[in-house]
This record gives sequence, structure tokens and C-alpha cells, in this order.
Amino acid sequence: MPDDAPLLSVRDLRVSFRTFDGQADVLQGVNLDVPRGTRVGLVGESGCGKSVTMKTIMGTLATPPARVTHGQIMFDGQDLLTMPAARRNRLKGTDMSMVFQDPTTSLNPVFRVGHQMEDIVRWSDRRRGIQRNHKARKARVLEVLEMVRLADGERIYDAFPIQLSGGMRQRIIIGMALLNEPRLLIADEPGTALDVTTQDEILRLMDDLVREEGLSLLMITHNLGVVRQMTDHVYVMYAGSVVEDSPTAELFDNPSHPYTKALLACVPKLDGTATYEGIGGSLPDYTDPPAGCRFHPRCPHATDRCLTRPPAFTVRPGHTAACWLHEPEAHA
Amino acid sequence: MSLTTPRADRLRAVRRAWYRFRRNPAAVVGLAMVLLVFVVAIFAPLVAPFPEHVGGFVDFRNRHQPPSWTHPFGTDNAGRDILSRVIFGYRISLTLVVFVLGLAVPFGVLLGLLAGYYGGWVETVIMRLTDVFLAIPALVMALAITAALSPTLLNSMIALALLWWNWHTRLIYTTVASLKHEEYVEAAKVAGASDFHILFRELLPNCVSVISVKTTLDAGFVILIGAGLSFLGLGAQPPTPDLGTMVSSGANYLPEYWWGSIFPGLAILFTILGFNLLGDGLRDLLDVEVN
Amino acid sequence: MSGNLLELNQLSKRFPVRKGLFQRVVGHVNAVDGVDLTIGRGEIVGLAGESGSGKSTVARMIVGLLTPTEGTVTFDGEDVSKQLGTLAFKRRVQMVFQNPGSSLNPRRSVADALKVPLRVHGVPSSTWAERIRSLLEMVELPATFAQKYPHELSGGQKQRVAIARALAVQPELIVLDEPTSALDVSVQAKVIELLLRIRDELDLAYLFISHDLSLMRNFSDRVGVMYLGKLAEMGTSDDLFLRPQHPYTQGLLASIPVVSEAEEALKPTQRHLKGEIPSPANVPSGCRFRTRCPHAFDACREVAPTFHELSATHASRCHLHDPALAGSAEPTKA
Repeated sequence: MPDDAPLLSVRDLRVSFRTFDGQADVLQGVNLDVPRGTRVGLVGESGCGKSVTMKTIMGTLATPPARVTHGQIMFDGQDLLTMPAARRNRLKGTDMSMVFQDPTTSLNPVFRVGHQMEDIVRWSDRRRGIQRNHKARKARVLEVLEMVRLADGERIYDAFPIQLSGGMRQRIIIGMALLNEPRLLIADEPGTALDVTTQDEILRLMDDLVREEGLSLLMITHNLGVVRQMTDHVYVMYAGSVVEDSPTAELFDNPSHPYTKALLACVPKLDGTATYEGIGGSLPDYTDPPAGCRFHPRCPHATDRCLTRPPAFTVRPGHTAACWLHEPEAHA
Repeated sequence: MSLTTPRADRLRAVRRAWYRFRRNPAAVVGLAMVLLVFVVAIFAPLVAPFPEHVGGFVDFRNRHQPPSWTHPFGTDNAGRDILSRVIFGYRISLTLVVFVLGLAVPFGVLLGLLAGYYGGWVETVIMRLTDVFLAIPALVMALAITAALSPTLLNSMIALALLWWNWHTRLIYTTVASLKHEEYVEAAKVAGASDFHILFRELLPNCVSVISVKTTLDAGFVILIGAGLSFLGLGAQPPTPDLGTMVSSGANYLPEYWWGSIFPGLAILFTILGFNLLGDGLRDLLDVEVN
Repeated sequence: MSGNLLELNQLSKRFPVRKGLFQRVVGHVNAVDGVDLTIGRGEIVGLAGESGSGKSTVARMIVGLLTPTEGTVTFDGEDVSKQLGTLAFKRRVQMVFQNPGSSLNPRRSVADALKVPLRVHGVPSSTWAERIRSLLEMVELPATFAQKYPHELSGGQKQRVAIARALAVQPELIVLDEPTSALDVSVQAKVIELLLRIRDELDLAYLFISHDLSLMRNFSDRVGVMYLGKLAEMGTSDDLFLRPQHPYTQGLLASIPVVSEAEEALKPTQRHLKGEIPSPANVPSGCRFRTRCPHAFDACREVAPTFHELSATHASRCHLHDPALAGSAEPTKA
């Protein structure tokens, strides 16, 4: 495996759900790369499929009702979808780990913080066949608490989650994800449940850690501002597929897909220049989606062409948009 | 914009619920068992092979007949068809359930609503009262009451109703205590709605799922305790075809004439199992926590 | 100003802290501590702050869900402090709640929800159907939605119904408690547009509670920033976002994630706030913000700052605006 291959590479991922209303084709061929040492964002509104994508990668999707009908999820050259469950479980929590959204519910209230963190170390030691005693495990936990800038690690080690503030708990959650020296960190709306000043601190901390530890980051969020601040490359999802992907700065300077443009226009701006047009219509019903481009019923530029699903056209190097407006001939 | 009519939407909602319910085989079996018991009990005179065997009928030539095609559950010590008596016994069991829960549930729910919504001294008085009732073991209490009042079916039903309300009070109390902070309750207050409106139009409808799950699960227990009382001779008196009484009188002829108490016993088990499976299924379907 | 619709004067709310077997009162939490605020007719006033700042408590006192411990509320020139929970006052002030998932009763239809205020305020039942239709029309929902149940509606549609419910009694002031914080931005934009249109049509005033400062910038005429139960800074939207004076406001603005360079340029460049908002049960002495303030100096520990009028519309509660105290401040900073 050459080292310049992406650490995580999702290829043509399709996931369907069996529901009362029939089959819902939720993921419609998602492609996504997380190159080594980069920070990648997956952004979209609720119901766009970003959580299903994340759960499929992490292997936490409930099957049934969900079913992966097609595609590959390559992690470091191995397909997560076809590897034996035991191997995949070994990867989870070690090579790839996850930062959860809600610091109030992702820690167990009845166990001390140190106890919960040590459990994680012990389980992964067992999976990797390593023997470490309590003292060595505790040393690792304290080391991580320091990494997430929690002073007074000994006290926090012995504290119950309820005795800590939301921001401290969020740091612990980040620490838990770092315990096993992962290579890929998947963050699900980190800091969303916190106040804006605390969220800002948490995001800065994550950013520092990703750089210091040389991690790759996949961040799932609905907040375009967070994506802009935290990532190098962005994937925008709508109704089960990636509609645009681009280097972050380029995306915000030059949004190319009509959905991305409309979405950016909806974000209230600090300079008071928001528009309140919103996006007409609503997210399609996954059991009966519109033909072709799923955004076309809401798109101001829709033509008959849009009844065929557009491929991802290159707008500029590294920047693609799945929209017929960007078909090369159209520019000629 | 939706093109469907409200009526069609409602119908769809019902079909969707049935679709989810159907995916739980145990619940479907439970529903079938409960329905069977109800149908058989309601149409007992038509279903039972020997409806005349229910009362004081005696046919000593046919006493203690083992199960056969004519008497699938055999006959008892007076030569009466046990299957017919079981079928009529279901009538009594279900009357017991309807009477006891019909009294206890509305009363318990009302007190639970009041305690949960008002809090303060109302809560203190009502909840301490439930504590008192919970402190006494149910069967002991029922024994005491029926013994004090004279052992009849009606008295055992009253005793059970007196015991049962507090469970519903506790359940509704905890449900309402959390629901009352929902924004729709506050929105109703801001709109100026009366307490009566909030209690019965906003809160009660949201308790219906817990109440129905709890009531279904209760039905089985009421039958069990009712049968227990009759078994001890404190409920329905012979020759009334009560399942508990039948188990008890059949027990005198064990083990040779085992069918005399085994079949009524299995009949009790059947209803309890049915109600419990159904209750569990409803609980999953409605996604509520009971107890 | 005599034209004020609502005036809050030193409004405070103290919650008792109870402990032990007998629930003895062992102390108090000052959730709201002497807030002065005015809202003119047709004006949108925003109240911003982090959780625990007391902004929602202010809202709940105005609509009568909580009783103020101290202070007065004047509505349309009349002291209504004693009438806050009454039916007559509820007719004039309504509220839209934060969570579209729970602000409608899941077991009751849209029509049922809209009938509650109509019935309570004695609107003749013969006109209900017509009123419900026109209320739904006002929030841009088709009349057929009257028969729908909340689970059949999207988040944005639910919030429209909640707005219709608030409009049913034809109030003069609507308290909006984070009305769009649970919605996606594309839906939020449409709801905000609706609220602005209704304000213009009906000449309503809004008290807008939110933690989203970017939204507040676009939606509010004037904005107050609250910290631990007190107003830290108050001014027009321009005052606050172009010329923030209080270190807390500056810190808040600096921490907002934004989507363009133009916005980035507006963010104050000050150091980031440290730590988190202290518990209202344990308010720091002197200036309550001093534990997180990058400029804190000795006086901040001892003396609680008062409001300094920086202009006719702009005021900030910070010792830095006091020439006598601020002079001594500079050398202490590293």
C-alpha cells in the first residue's frame, strides 16, 4: 500500500432501509476520502445521510432495517465491509475512534471518570494481546488527561462525570478517543451541545491535537462555520449523496453546486447580510425520491437534463460538483 | 404539500402500527390468545358443549371421566364437563378483570394526575397514601378484606380494586411529573388554559399508552390473584364455575383424577400468558416504560 | 421614552436552594438579578447569553410562567407586575417555545392546539374554523393542516403552528425563546422571514431569546447580552456587533464560527475567554465576569461595576469604562 493512498476511502457506498413505506435508498453512492494527516468535513442538514455514512463507517448501523447494498470502505488498504467481524472490531476503538456529540450522555454517570477510561485501555489491550497492569493503565489515562489540557488529572481521574462541567466532560470524551493512539478520529458534531465560548475552546483543542498527534480527522457536522474553521477539505451531502467536494477555502470562496450556494446564503452572517430566502420545498421522501438529481425539485436552475443523475464534474482541480451546470461542454 | 386526506393519513397510521406490531410474533400470539378467551367467554352458551353442566347439574354415572372426544378436558366429581365449566369460568375471570380494573384504573390515574401535576401537599398526601397500601402484601390484604366482609365474588372484586389503584397512581405520577415540564404544557398555560384542560386534555392523552400497557399486564395478575382467592375459598363459591374454585375442588382428587385441576389451571395460565405477551408487545410498540 | 410597550425595572428572580430531610432553604440562586429592559412597539429586542445567563428566566417571568421576586413590569404605560399570570395579560403577551418536538402535544391535532387560546379567551366557537384557517394562512400553511397531528409535520411546520397559536389571541408582544435553534439553517431562514413579515403586518414587538449571535445580528433591532443574571451590555445591533465594548461580548463574538472573510474581519481579536460560566449559586464577588475576563484587575474583585452609558443607545457594565479605575488597570496586564 503506497503511503499517499488515503487512510480512509469510501467508494460508491449505498445503504438501503426496509420500512413500512417500502425500500428507502438512503445512501446513493457516497464517495469520500480522508487522506493521511488531513482534516475532512462532512457537512449537511438533518436527514442528508451524514449520520448513516458515519455509522456505516463505524459499523454501528443497525442491520436490519438497514442494509449495505454496494460499495467499499477502505481503511488503510483493507475493506472494512468484507473483513471478518473480529478484525473490524479490533480496528474500532484503536486505529479509528470516535468523539461523540453529547458530553452529558456519552459518559456513564455511575462510574468514576478514571474507571471508564481505564476500561477502554484494558479492552483494547485484550484485543491486541497486550498485558498491562493497573499502574501502567492509569499512567496512560493521566497522560491523556494532560493531552486534553485538563489540569489536576488525579482529581479528575477520581471524579464522577456529574462533578465536572460540560466542557470538561467533552474534553474527557476526546481523551477517551485518543487513549489507544488512533490514526483516524471521527467526530460527530463535537461541541454542539455546549455554549459557543466552550465550543470554541473544544474545537481549538481538537485542532491542536490533530496536528500534534498527526491524526486524520473526519468531522461530521451541520455547522458550516465549524467546517470552515476546522477542516482542509469538505464534502457537502444532500439527500444521500455528496453533491460537492472541495478544499475548504475554495468551497467558501466559490461554492458551485446550487444546493451549497443556497445553504451558504441561509447562514445568518455576523455582518448582518443574511438573506431569508431559505430553500423552497423540503427534503425528498427517501422511499419515493425524485428521479435524477435529488435536488432538482428545489433547484432554481433545474432543467430536463436534471432528470438524469449528474456525475461529479470537476470544477477546478480538487473541486467537484454533481450538477449538470458544471458539465465541461456546458462551458464551451 | 401533502396530497393525502386526513382520513387516509389516520388509516395509514393504523396500518403502520399494525405493521410494527406484526413484527413481534410473541405479541401477535398474545393478542390471538386474549381474543380467543374473550370470544369464547362472550359466546360461552354457544361454544360450550354442555352449557347445562355449569350450575348444580349432577350426573354421578359420568363422574371422573378421563379426557375423551365427548369431554376433551374430562369430567369432574359430579360428572360435569370440565371444558364447558372452563369456558364459563372465563366469563367470571373477565368480569373480575373488567370490574377490578374498571374501578381501580380510573381512580388510580386520577390521583396520579393530581399528585404529579400539583406537587406540594397534594403530592405528599396522595403518595404517602399509596405507600401505606404498597406496604401491605396484596394477597394478605385481600384475604383480610374478604374474610372481614364474607367471602363472595363481589367482595373479592372490591378487595382487589382497593389494592390495585395505587400502582396506577404511582405510574401516572411519575409520568406526569416529567410530562408537566414539556413545552406544550407551558404553551397551554401561557395561552391561559385552565388546570382542568391541562390535566385532561393535554396530560391524560399522553398517559394513554402507559395506562394501556400497564392495564393489559395487570389483567393477567388480577386473574391470578382472583383465582388464588377462590382457591382459598374466599372468592366465588361452588357451584359457580370459577377457575380458581375448580382447581381447588379438583385438587381433592389428585393425582388419580388429575384432569380436574390441571385443565382449569392450564386455562388460567393461558389467559395470563396471553395478557402478558400482549402487554409486552404493546410496550415495545408504544415504546413506554412501565414499572 | 413614553412609547415603550414593555418596561422591565430591576426585575429579579431568586430560586431557593433546599437541602436535607426537611427541605430547609439553605441559600438562594439569583437567576436574574436586577434587569432593566425596554421594548418599543414593533421593535425586536434580542437577549443573548450562554446557558445559565438567566435569559430564559426573564422570558418566563414576562409570560407569567414564573413570578418575579423583585422589580416591576410596565406594559403600555401601566404597572402590570401583579397581573403577569392573569388571563387579561396573557391576551397581550404570548410566547413561542424552543423545541418544535415538544411544544405541540403529540396527541392533539393542529386544530386542537389552535382552539385552546380561542376557547380560553372567549372567541365564539362559530368562528373558530374560520379563525384557524386564517391563522394557518398567516403562517403559510394550507388549511388541510388543521387535521394533522404533530408527528406528521416537519420541524419547521411545527414551529409555524406554534407561531399561529401565539398569534391566535392577537397579542402585542411575542416572546420568542430560541424559536429556530432546533431547525436546520435552510428552514430557520424561512421561519425568520415569516416572523419578520408578521411583525410588519401586525406591528408586533418581539423579545427574542437566543444564543445564536449571528442570527441576532440579523434579526434584532436592539440586543442585550446577559451574563449570570445581569445585563453586561445593551445597545443597537450596530453598537453591539460593530463596536462591542464589554469584554464578555467581545469574547462571545470572537468565538463564533463564521463562513466568510468579511465576517472574520468583524470578530474582535481579543484573547479567548477562559473556563466556563460559573454556577449562578456561586456568583463571583465584585464583577461577576472577572473570573473569565482577560482584562480583570484588582478593582474587579471588590466592586461590582455599574452600567456606563457610552452613547444614547449603548451601555456596558465594565470598570474599563470608568477612567478612574481603568487607569490603574493597564499596568497589571501581562
